[in-house]
Formats: sequence, structure tokens, C-alpha cells
Amino acid sequence: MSDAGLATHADAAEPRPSASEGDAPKGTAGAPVAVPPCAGPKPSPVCTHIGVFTLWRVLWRSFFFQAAANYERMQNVGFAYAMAPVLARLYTGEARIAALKRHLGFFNSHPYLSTAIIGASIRIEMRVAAGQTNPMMVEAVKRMAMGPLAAIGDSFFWSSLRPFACVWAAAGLLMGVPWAPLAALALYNFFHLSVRLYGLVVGYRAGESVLRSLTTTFQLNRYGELAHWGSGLVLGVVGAALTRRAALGHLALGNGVEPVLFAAFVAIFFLCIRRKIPTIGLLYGGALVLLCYVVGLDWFFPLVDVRDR
Amino acid sequence: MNAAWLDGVLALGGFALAGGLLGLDRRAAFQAMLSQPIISVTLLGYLCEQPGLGVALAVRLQLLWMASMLFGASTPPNENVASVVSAGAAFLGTAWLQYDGAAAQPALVVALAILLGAPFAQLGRQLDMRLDRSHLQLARRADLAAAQGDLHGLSMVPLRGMVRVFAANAALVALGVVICAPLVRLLSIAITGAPAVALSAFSIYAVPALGVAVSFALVKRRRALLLGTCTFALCVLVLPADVFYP
Repeated sequence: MSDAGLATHADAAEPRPSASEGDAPKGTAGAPVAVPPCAGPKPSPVCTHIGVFTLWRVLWRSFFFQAAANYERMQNVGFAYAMAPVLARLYTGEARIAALKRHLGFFNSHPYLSTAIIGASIRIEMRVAAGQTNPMMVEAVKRMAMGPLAAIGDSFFWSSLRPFACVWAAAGLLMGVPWAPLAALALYNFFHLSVRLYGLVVGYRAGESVLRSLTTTFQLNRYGELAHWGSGLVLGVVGAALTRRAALGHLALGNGVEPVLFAAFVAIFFLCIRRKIPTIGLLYGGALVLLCYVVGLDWFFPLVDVRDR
Repeated sequence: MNAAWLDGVLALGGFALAGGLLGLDRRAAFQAMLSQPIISVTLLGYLCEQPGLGVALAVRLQLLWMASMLFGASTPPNENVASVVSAGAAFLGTAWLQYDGAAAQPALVVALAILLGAPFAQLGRQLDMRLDRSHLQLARRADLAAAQGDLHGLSMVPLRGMVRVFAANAALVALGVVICAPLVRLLSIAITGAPAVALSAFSIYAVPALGVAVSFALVKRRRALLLGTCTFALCVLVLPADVFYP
């Protein structure tokens, strides 16, 4: 299959770049980022348009973004791996080597939202291959976008959505709903896969303006707020469910003491956590304190063996 | 080698495989939340035909390790290794007890599994740090492939990374289960009287409370904490018990 044939087929499917994509990339404050004029060897374009199949390959490869994460350049290998099908279409020879080296530079961002930066990089590389812009534009956009998108992704996915989904699954299981974990998994991955796919599309269309396009398109902050409130609400249900199970188990204390005891434990542990005491320390410390207390109590008031109850 | 030993070896292999695959999902591939204890331990419980024990363990482990998040370049305790080791210790230990004709006390088994499995979270963290250092070699390999324009060579680098992550996680989980499962069995028989009551109470009251406290600490809105407290009070005071214990 000839490259010209591929280019013709892809050309019919691709939207034309808008006039605004010729502008310099804008930072989060809206000020243009300075990029020097073109320098170095001109690329010899194999093909200046990317087909949908190639974009699907890029999306698939984005799932292995952190497979070779390292301390030096973080997710650089994953980024280059995801870009490789595009670079194979756009460049040959020295231009391809230069492009690969470009994408093996330092990169660190949220794995789900990195597809937006990949999409933007693809759009810019297409223009680089056509000789319309400087290759340094790619690095400039990556550096500009990786930090803000990392903050958005960490805040929404790791701090808000995942805790909410997990607590929701726990509440469902405690209330006897066996498919609750599957529902939580579906909810989480709905957002996960939507952000990956849509991020790639938005980045590909917006190019240098990826950050501005994303912040107006994704309203993740709003969903994050809802997830925090949802987590608070469902944690109360989880606590009640665990207390009820304790009250109906073989170590029930009776007279409605269990909820009070549970709430007291939660309050003490919460205060300790706020004072930065590690969870593992609280785990073993709690076990030790409880052992000493019950064994000491048994010394004065012999308890019945739990297996005899 | 009799059938019971063979079953044990196969089960150990199964837990190692689960640990390796879930270790991939945790960071190296997909990151689809399958490695979270509420999903993985519940599923392992159903596969080991101990769903009740699986649910009890999964809820506690999830709440306990809720704060273990992969922010940026940070390397938190590896909750996946700790959870799978705890699950393996609990399920294999219980099966072993039943095979011996001894009665397994679920609360005691859960407490022992969690206490014995928790240190493996720190071991897993050390493992992750070593893997990140070893991936520098892979980054050099990628640089070399790029300098030669070798796209196939570059594409093999993430695969090598995944193989390393899988093998390391599987090996650590296997080691953990081999150590902890016999300990759960031995200690379940040896611990009686007041210490057994204490550990059971620890599993029923203290561990869930610690988990809820850890999860509350993640909620950044004070009014959401107040909402949670009110919901707790409402559920305990108003709703009937069978809503929460079907």
C-alpha cells in the first residue's frame, strides 16, 4: 500500500486545521509562549495526515503509559511509545530519529489526561512534518500542559472519584448487593475511558490551544465536588453498616454501646491521622492497646472463650 | 505429593498470578481500578468459594489502604501486594483449618491476615522504588532504539517493563502467602481466650473504625464530614438493623 494512497484516504477523513491553530501556544494565563523560528534540517514528509486507525493505535498504547516509568525522565518511554505509530507515518530517516528523541524527553502528567497532550503533539507534529512550524513547539506545549493536567487529574481521579467509587462499592457489599463492586468499576471507568478518548480528540483538534479547550470542555471540578460530598455521605452509611454488623455478631456489647464505641474509635483515629501518625502505626498500635486492655481486663474479670459463645 | 498439597501449590500459583496481574493494573497497564482491594479481594473470595470472608476482608482492606494513591512521582505503600497477601493468607489459612477439621473463627482470621499482610505494603513500596530505578536501563534502551530509528525496539521497551513489574509483584505475593498462610493457620489454633477475643474485637471494631477514619481524612470538605456524621447517626438511630445485615 503506497504512502500516497494512505495520505489520500486519510485526507478525506481529517478535519482541516483552523486558522487559530497557527497561533503561538498560550499558557494558562493566556500569554503566548515564545518559540524561536525554524532551525535545523527540514523534515522529509512521508505523509502529513493521520488516519483514524493510527489514532486508535495511539489510544491503545496510551494504556501502557507508565509501563517503564523511571525516576530520571518519568513517563518519557510511554510517551514515545504512544507517539511511535504517528512518527512512523510522518517521518523517515534522520527526521524520524530527531522526532523520537524529541519525545523521549522528560514527561510527567496524569496518565488519563496525557492523551490530550498526545493529541496536541500529533497535531503539531503534522505541521512540523509539513514544514509549517518549529519542532520546538511540541516541547513547549508538552511542558506547558503537563503540570496543570496532572493537577486536574490527580484532584479528580485519585482524590475524588476513586475514593467515592470504592466507598460506594463497600456500602453496597455491606448491604448485601454482590454486584456493587462491578457498578463502581463501571462508574469509574466510564469517566476514565471518556477522558482518555475525549482528551485525545480534543488535543488532536486543538493543537497548541489544548489547555484552553480542555478547561472549557471538561467540567471535572464540578464532578469532583460531587464526589467529595458523595464520599462523606456514603462513609456514614458504611460506618452504620459496620456498626450494625458488630451489634449482631458474637462480640456484641449490647445496650446500643456499639455505635458509641465505633464513633469514639473513629474520632481517636481521625485525630491521630490529622497529626500525621502513619496508618500502619495506628494499626499495630491499636492492636497492641486492645490486646493489653482485654488481657488485662481478663486478669481481673475472666472472659468466656470466644469459641464457647 | 498428595492432592491437598497439589491444591495448595495451585492456589499459591493462582494468588501469585493474581498479584502479578493486579500489580500491572495498579500502575503499569490500564489502571482501571481492578487492583483496588474492594474489587480484587472480593473477586478472589468468590473464586476461593469463601465470599463472606472475602467481603469482610475486602471492605476492611479497602478502607485501610484508601489513602495509598499514586500522586505524581510519589511511591506510596503498595496496597495491592498487602491486600493479595492478606487475602491469600486468609483464604488458604481457612481452607487449611477446615481440611484439618478445626473451626475457623472469621473475625480472628481477618485480624491475623490484615496484621500479617500489612508489612508487605512497605516491602511492595521498596519493590516499586527498585523497579523505578531498574527502569532507567529501559530508558537507556529506548534512547538507543530511538538513535537507530528502531521503532520495533522502542515498542518492546514497555513490554519489558511490564514483564518486570509482573514478575516482581508475583514473586513478592507468592513469598507473602507462603509465609502468612501457615502463620494464620497456626495462630488461629494457638491463640485462645482473652487474646482471641481481643483480636476478634480488633477486627470487628478497631480495623473498620481506622479504615473509616482514613477515608474521612481524604474528604477535603468539612461539611461533607458533617454530612457523613449525620448520616451515620441517622442510619444507626432510625433505620432497622436488617437493612444493613440482610
